[in-house]
Formats: sequence, structure tokens, C-alpha cells
Amino acid sequence: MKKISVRTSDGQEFELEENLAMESATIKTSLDAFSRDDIILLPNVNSWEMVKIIEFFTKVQELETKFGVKFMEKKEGRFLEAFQAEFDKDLSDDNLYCLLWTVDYLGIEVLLENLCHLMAERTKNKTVESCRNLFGVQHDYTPEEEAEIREDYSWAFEGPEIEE
Amino acid sequence: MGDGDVVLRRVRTDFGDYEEDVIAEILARLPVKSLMRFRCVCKSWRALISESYFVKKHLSYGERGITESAHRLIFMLDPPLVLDYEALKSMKDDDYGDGAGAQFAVTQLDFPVTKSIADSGYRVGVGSCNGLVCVQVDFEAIMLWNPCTRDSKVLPKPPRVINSKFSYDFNGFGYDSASDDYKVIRGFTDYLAMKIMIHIFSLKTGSWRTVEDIDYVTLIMRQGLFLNGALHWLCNLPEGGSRILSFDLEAEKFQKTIPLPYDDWFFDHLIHKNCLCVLACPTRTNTFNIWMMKEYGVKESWTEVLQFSLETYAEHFDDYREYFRPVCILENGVVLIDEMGDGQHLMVLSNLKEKKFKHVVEVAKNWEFTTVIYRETLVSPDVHTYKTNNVS
Repeated sequence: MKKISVRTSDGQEFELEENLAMESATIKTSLDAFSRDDIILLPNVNSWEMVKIIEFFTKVQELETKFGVKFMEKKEGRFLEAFQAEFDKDLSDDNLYCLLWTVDYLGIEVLLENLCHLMAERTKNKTVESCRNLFGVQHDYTPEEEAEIREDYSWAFEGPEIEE
Repeated sequence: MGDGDVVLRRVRTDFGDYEEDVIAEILARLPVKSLMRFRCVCKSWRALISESYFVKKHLSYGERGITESAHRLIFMLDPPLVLDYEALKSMKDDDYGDGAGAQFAVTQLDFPVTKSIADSGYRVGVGSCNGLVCVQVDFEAIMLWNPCTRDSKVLPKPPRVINSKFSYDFNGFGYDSASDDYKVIRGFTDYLAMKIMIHIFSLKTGSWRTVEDIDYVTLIMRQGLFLNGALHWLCNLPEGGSRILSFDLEAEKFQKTIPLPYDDWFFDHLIHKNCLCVLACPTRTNTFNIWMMKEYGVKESWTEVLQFSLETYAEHFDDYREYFRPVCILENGVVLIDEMGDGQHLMVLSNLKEKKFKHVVEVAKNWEFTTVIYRETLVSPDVHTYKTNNVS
């Protein structure tokens, strides 16, 4: 199996198996245009992110071998559930957020879907403020506007499940 | 960087839309309550959450099982009671002890307060579709209500029925995907002339139209069930036996009737796992059988999926088949309304594995009420805005 070399923003080089590299629409497009012998520079990808991406694919391949199912061929599938505890153990909300955008940049559809789901799980019980912080969103309501929404939907702001 | 190195830029260039795509993917997987709260995060999120494409995406994720979309059962009382039957499903077996454990799964709901209509508390559930519940208030007013987002809208008054020989017989609410329209049906029967008349409301146009001169069938159920783009009612044919009558919402016409498992009388219909189900109570037994039509319209696909007897629960009655109404099917049991005994209506949960029946909660006294099952969605009753016509 041919290996594709990539270099992350912090100068680290990784050798990816061709079929894994082709899961990235971004890498695939460039491979179609350039020689496979070139090193592909990924200025938007950090080495820890690349490690995580490789971890995901390694785990999925393990599952495929174990269960004899081609997960990757399915259009939709949340395989992350099988090893989620392991995968997101050391992944902070902010890191997950960065990883998500990196995977989106690389165009790895299947991993992106899994990460969106994971992100939704992490987000659903957050307060408005922590949500703003996490997504880096500008607070553009006036105090009066915000107060009105909070009053109209007060029931959505109450509940034991909402994190502090 | 050497000559052989390739620097990658993003494949997609439309930066603005594309960011929203990813945010939409995440938000579309959130429960409605979180999304209502996150309207406060910023103006663009509020706009996104109300966007038609986003609401539909969120709805489809629930339908396809990509997200868990909670089902709830409403008892249309005053105030309405709501049962979270997923909470009920996850109840441990020993919670069936005295019914107290299930109390947590039933809560009161605030019915929308509207100044424009009189509301004495008499409400009839017409149906539910895509998270919208259609309720008739005090005989004449019809309202669309999303119990999850709490939005509601009173529809224009239906046409007045001048011919007093017509009595109000059946109703239904559903969605016509061909025209992306929600429709309400009210049906009337003139028993002397043996004719049926219906009023159809289209949310898109905001108006009612009347269809007359339909041949008469004896409808057993008042509330139509929405499935596969049509409304369904159990009916009895003049020549004997039961069938399912279906009304196609796109064509706005009654279709050929759907056959039942075998030639006999059937009672009660419900939907389970997106299939029509009917209740059979074979005579000379006190058992109830629930049949499910696994393939829509295919008689051979009717399969008996549940069988239970109420003998241990109600020993002192000889024939109590009429007194029990199934309202929904769970994984390990069935929820029934028990209408025996002095007009008291209790919800009975049957645990089929252990053959246990417990009355879970007393729902109402001396009150005939309807039930509606709905899903949590973002769909707004204002999904189509229209100018209100003066309908007398």
C-alpha cells in the first residue's frame, strides 16, 4: 500500500496509508493534481490533530476486522460510540472544537459527522454563556433583547440537566 | 518548503455559508429545549434555528433516528397531561409495584392561552404530525400547537354547517409532502341520506374547502391516524366486517379501503413503528390481540404482534373488551385506558413479560378524552404565514 507523506503546521511529518489519506477530500483533490511522491503541507492541521485522526481510522479498521462490517462504506454511521470513552477522554471542549474544524478543512466526511455528534452531546446542556465561549461567538444582543428571549422561553433555561 | 511540497488550501471556497454548514450540523442534533435556549447565543444562531431548511433538517434527523426524538403521549384533559413514554419504557420491572414509580413520567402541560377564542377546557385531540398537535377547542375552534416549543396558532373558523342533518363524525390532521402543506379534515355524516361531507383546511392557503356527496361508511374511530401521506380510520362496511378507510392528503380523496387480517370486527387502531395496528378481541375469550400491518396495504403482511389477557386484572367482569382502549405500544408492554367502573379512566400499563397489569395513574373522572402521540420538533404552527380571510 502506497504511503502518502504529510507535514503538519508544527513541522511534524506523518506517513499515511493511501486509502486513509483518500478519505480526506482535500488531500484526494491534490493527489489527483500532483505526484504522490510530494510531501503535502497541511498548514491548518496541528500534529496532535493528525494523531487523533489516525487514531480514529485505526480504531475503525479494528472494528471492521472484528465485526466483518465495512463501516466506512456506509453513508451514515456513528462508529465513534464504540470507542468514544477512549477517544474523547483527553479531549477538552476547546480541543474538540479545533479538531472539528480541522476535519472539516480536510473534508473527512465520516469523521466529521461523528465529531458533530460528539460536539452536540457536549453542547446540549451548556448555558448560553459557555456556548458562546466555546464557539467563539460574538454576543450581539442588547441586554433588553436578551432579557426578552429569556423571559419568553424561561422554561428552556431551567432544569437540573443544565450545566453551570 | 521544497519544490516537491504541496500546500493545501480548503477545497470549499465559499467561506461564509460553509461555516454555517458545520454549525447547522451540530445544532441539528440538539434537543429542542437546548435550541430554544441557544437562540440567545447570538442573532445569527437565532436566525438559523428558525430557518425552514434547518427545521426540516432537525426534523429529518429525528425521523431517521440520527437523533433521539422523544415521543410523548398527551391526554387531552384540562390541563393536558403528558406521558413521557420513553421514561416509562426505561422503568425497571420492580417499579411496577404500586404504580408510584411511574408518577414521575406523567406531568401537566400548560395549554396555550388564547384571547381570540373561548376555551371552557373541552378539548379534542384531532391528530399530530411532525411535532405539531391539532386540537379542537370547544367544538368550533381549531388550534395548531407545538407542545415542545410552546408555539400555537388558532386557525380560521371552519365553515358553518347549515344542513342540520349532518352530524360531526370524524377528523384528522396530517402533512402533504407534495405541496409541503399541513391539512386538517373534519367529517360529517348525514345518516338519512347516507352521505358524508368533509371540510379540508390547508395551512398554506389558510382556507377551508368543502367536499360533499361522499358515499357513506360507518366510521368506528373519530380520530384519523396519519401515515404515508394519508389519514386512516377504522370503519365497518354495510355488508359486514371492518376495513381501514384512507384519505390521501395530496389528492384530497378517499382511497380504496385497506383490508384487515381476516373477516371479522376490529376495534381501535394505532400506529407503532410506522405501521398501522388494530385491536382484535376474539369472542368467547378475554384476550386482546394486536395486529400490525408490516407492509402498508398488503393484507398478507398483517402479523399478530401482541397478545394479552386482562383476566387477572378485571376478574369480576365477564366481557370487558369494550372497556379497554390501547393507546400506545411499548417495547415490553402496552398502555391502555381502562374505562370501567363509574366513569373513572385509569391508565393501565401491562408488562407482557411478567403478565403484570398496574394502573399507573388515574387520568380523569367522568370524562371522555382523546389521546395524541407527538414527537419533539421545532416545527412552528406558523410554518406557513397567510393572510387571514374573513370566513364566516
